[in-house]
Amino acid sequence: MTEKVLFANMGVPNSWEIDVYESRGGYQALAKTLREYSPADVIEVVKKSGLRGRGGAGFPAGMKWSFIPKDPGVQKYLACNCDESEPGTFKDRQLVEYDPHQLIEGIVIASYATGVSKAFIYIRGEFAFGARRLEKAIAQAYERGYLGQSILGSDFSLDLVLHRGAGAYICGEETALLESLEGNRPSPRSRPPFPAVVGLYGKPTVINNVETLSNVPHIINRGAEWFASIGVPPRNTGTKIFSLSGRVNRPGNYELPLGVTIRQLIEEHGGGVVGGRAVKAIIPGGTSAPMLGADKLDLPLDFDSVAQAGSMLGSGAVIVMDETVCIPHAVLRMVEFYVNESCGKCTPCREGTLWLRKILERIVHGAGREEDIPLLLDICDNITGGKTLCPLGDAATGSVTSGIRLFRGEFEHHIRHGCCPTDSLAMKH
Amino acid sequence: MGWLSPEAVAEVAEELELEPNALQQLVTFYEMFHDHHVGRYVLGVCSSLSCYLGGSDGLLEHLQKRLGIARNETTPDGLFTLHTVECLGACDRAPAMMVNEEYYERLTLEEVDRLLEELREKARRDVETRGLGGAETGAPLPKAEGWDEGSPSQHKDGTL
Repeated sequence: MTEKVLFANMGVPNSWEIDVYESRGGYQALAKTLREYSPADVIEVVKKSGLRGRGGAGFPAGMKWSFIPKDPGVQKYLACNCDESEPGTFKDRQLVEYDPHQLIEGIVIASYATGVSKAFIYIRGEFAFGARRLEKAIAQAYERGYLGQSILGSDFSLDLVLHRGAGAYICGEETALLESLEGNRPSPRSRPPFPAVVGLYGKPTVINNVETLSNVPHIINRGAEWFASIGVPPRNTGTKIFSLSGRVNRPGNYELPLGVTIRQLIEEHGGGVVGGRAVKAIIPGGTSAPMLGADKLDLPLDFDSVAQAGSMLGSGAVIVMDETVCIPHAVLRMVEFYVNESCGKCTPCREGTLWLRKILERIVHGAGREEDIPLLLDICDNITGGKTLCPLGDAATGSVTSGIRLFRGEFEHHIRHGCCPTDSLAMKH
Repeated sequence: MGWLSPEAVAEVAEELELEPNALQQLVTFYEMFHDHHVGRYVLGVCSSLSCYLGGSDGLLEHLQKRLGIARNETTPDGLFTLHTVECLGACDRAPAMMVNEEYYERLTLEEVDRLLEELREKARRDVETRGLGGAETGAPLPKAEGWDEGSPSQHKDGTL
């Protein structure tokens, strides 16, 4: 078994309580930071560790922090993205429910590094239980002097505010998240300027995912070299929490070094495919990531390898579809999500996703036309490639283009015979 | 209760010195706000891919039959509104359903029936005790409260 870092406290009774967290070495990294490191030192350590953003884009965290202006006279903010809504992803939920102090410690260190005096956690409204745990943890951290004025007797002060969303996938997109925090209709902003320069209330803003920030105390405690030795150095370092779901025997969150193969994840950790059936397709990073076929089972799950294979690691949500799953049906289900969650600001995304759904519906319901496959691809082409303000439009097309590329025969069968080629829908009770 | 009428929106807008439309567009944008009457219990069946692969269509069909309503409808007694929702982040415990702000996961049809009964009973008691609520009875339902890494069994440690 590989060592757990982020999940080291899982299974420990009352792991979410500050006493338990402290007894297991919690908040030592913060004390060390304030005692030994300048803000620039912290950024340097995180850069050296190779930590890349765990929210989906995989951007180097230390570099992101270094874009924040150094001018001490300018108000700066940090926003922790806990809007976890990418279909298939449930890792941040476990991190905030079971180790909220690990996240808070990461937020305080990141805020110190970037000169932030006010931080926010944006948690999706559905995570009511996690929000209650966080609320209590934040109050405990204030009581013990890890938040508030003059933290641990230093001249660094930070306020942390928990903000609950109200149900909208788009709020996980960083600029929509800022709009939502400001109380506006959450539509993405146009970039540049980037949030590091003009962010929340027009001020420089650091935006990091829960898992990214939760890694920070460990990097401070154990050093950049230790972190950089895990995974596939130098560009894919550390462990990653893989949310495994779909047709596997033991779905769940698994913390493993970056670079574990899809086969290892499914077979060694997920207990194999339900019923011992064969894998038909895998989604490696949430439904925004294009599907991969069974020939990619030995692909290492790291940012670069998955990108080279034509998909993306995204949030690390691995969804497994077995041989009984009908791909056109599954693609329709994925597209429906983006139709509902498109914010409506950009026409190609708003209209394009509607058309994708309409055409996919007629294909799976036996009214498809021969020209529908090229038509779907044409619509995808007209959504993607920088025609929208945010990646939601591109994300909506991933399952369609990969589905047609890998399983074109299934779409053609639906169109020609009006029925499923797969012995599927065994998924009903 | 549980929804935002135009009057309520107008009142809040006045308080905040905003145009009612600035608030109304938020009410209609976010899934968890309702701009129409909803039942005492809003059932949100997750319909995203992982739950679909885990049988959410069967769960939805069953609820429609049991409650005698279609999606987005409310039972005549005002107890239940049936919605589908997008990914709840409970993908390892499909199929999942949200009841108001509470998650129920890895639901069997038999458990759903018991859950409906429990909610009906709770509503009856609440009415009798003028909304003061009461203790839940019956066998425990798979309410989301715990988490073991990669384990299909849940530990019940829902304390805060």
